[in-house]
Amino acid sequence: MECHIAYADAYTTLGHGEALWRALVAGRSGLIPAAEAFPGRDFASDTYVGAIAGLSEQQRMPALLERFAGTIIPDAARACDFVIGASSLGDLTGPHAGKPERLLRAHLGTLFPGLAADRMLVVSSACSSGTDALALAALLLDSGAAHAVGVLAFDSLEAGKLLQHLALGTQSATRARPFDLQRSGTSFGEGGAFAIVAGAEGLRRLGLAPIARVAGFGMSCDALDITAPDPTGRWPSRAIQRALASAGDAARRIGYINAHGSGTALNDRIEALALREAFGARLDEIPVSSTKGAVGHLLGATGLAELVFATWALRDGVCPGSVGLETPDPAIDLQVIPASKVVPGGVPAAMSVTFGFGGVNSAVVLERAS
Amino acid sequence: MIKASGLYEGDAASAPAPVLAPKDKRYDPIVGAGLVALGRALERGGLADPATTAILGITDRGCEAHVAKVTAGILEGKPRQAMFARAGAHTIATYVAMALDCHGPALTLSGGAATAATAWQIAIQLLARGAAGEVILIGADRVGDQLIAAAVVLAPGAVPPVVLGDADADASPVTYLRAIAAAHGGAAG
Repeated sequence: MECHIAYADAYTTLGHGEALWRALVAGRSGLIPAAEAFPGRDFASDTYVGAIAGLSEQQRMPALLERFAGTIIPDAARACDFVIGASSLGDLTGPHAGKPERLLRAHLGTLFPGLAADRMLVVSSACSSGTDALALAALLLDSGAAHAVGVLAFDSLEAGKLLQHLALGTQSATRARPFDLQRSGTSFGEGGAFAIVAGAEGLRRLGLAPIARVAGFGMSCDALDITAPDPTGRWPSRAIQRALASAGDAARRIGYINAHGSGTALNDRIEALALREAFGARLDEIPVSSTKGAVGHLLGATGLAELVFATWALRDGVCPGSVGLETPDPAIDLQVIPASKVVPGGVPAAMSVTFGFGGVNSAVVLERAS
Repeated sequence: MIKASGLYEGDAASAPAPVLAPKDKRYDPIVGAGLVALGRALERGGLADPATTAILGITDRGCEAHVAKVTAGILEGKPRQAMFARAGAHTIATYVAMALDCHGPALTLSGGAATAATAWQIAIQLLARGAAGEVILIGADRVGDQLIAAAVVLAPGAVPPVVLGDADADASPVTYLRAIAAAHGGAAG
C-alpha cells in the first residue's frame, strides 16, 4: 500500500504541535474539572474533562474550526485533492447540530481554499471515526481517485453533550485512569487532528517528505448493541488481526501500541483480551499506553489524534506514557507504561486501536519512514 | 456486479415496519427506511457470509429526528441519553450490522451527492483487498416530509461506479446512489 503520512498534528487541551508533544512526553495532563470548564452548570467539581479554553458553552465547533486554520492545518493542505472529515456528532446545538459534515462544508472555503464540495465527505463511525477516516484515505489513494488526501478529525464537548455521557455512565466521576485498578470511566474532551496522506505522486505535488507509512488497517463490528461492547473481545481482535495481516512485515516490527484505553472498566478489559488474542506472547515485549488521561477522549476526533501521537512516537523514538496509571489492574495483561519510554534505536512500527458506539472496532499499523 | 438492490420512498409519518429488524428498535426514522430498502433488496436471497460483510451508510442530513430531540432536551437541561446514543449517522450502518449479524467494517459517509460514487469506489477497494466479502451500500435521508432510502449489495467482481456527470453537491447522495444503481442494472426508482 503506497500511502504515506506527510504531515500530522493535533489540537487538544494541551495545545498543538511540539508543545503538545512535549507535554505528552513529560506526562502532563490537560484535564480540568467540568465545573471549571462550564462555570454556569452544576457539574460535580471532581469530574474532569479535556475541554479547550475560551470556547462558549454551546456551539463550540465553529470556533474550533477557525482555530485549526492557523494552527494544525498547514498551507501545504491546499495541494490536497480530497478531504475526508471525521466526526461523531459535533455540536448538538445551533444550525449544524448533529451535522458535522454541513459545518465542515460551510467552512470549506476557509480551511481548504479551492477545494470543490464534491471532493469532501465526513466519516462517522462514532469514536472510531478518525481512525476509519485514515483507512478510507488509504483506500481512495489506492483507487487512484486522489493523490493527496487531507484527513481532518474534529469534535466538540458542549456542556449538553457531557450531560448525555454522565447519564450514560461513560464519563468518570473523577478522571480517566486507563488500565488502572481504580478506573471509573473516561474523561471526555474535544479538539481535532489533521493529517496529510499521499502516494508517491501526491508527495511530489506537496513537496513534503513522508514521516510514516500506513502499512495496514483492519475494521470490524460487534453487531451486538448500540452502546455496550461484546464482552468476549472477539470482534475487536478480528480488526486487530486484519490490521496485522494487511501490514505484512511491518506487523512484526511493532514496538508501540497506542490503545483505545478509554478507562471504562469493561472496555479496557476487552481491549486487553483482544490484543492478547491477536498478538499472542509477543505482546509482552510491546509497550502499550493510552493518552486519554492526558488529553481526554476526543470523541470522533480521538482516533486520528492518537494516530498523530503514534506518528510522533515513530518520528522521535519515544512512547508517551499512560497518564493516570498508578496501580495497574492485575487483570489487564498488557505492558502498560505509566511514564514515557525512550526506545534505543527508535520505534520501527506502531499500532493505534479505537472502539466506538455501535460496536465499531478499528486498528491501524504505521511504519516509520525509511 | 450488483448482487441485489432495493428502494424505499414514503411519507415520514407512515413508514412501514422493516422486515429486517434488530431487537433494539429505538432507531431514527431514516434508519428504519434504510432497513426497509435493504429488506426489499434481500427478498430473493441473503448475504454470502455476514461475518465478512461490510456496511457503508450514506447520508446527507443524518439522524435529524433524534438530534432534534436531544437538542430540545439540552435546551431544557435534561439528558436524552437513549436518543443521543442513537443520533449519530453511524447508526445507519451499525443497526444494519445488528439486524443481519454482520461483522465487517461498519461506518457511514456524510456528504453531497458525489458521496454515493465515492462510497461505491471505496466498496470496490474493500472487495479488491479482501477486507470484505460483500459490501452493503445503504443510503437513507429525510427530504422534506419524505424518507428516501436505497440499498445496494456489491459482491466480488463489482465494477467502479458509472460516471453520471456532475452531481449536485447539495442533493442527497441517496438520490445519486439510486441513479448509479439503476445504471448498473439495479432497481430503478
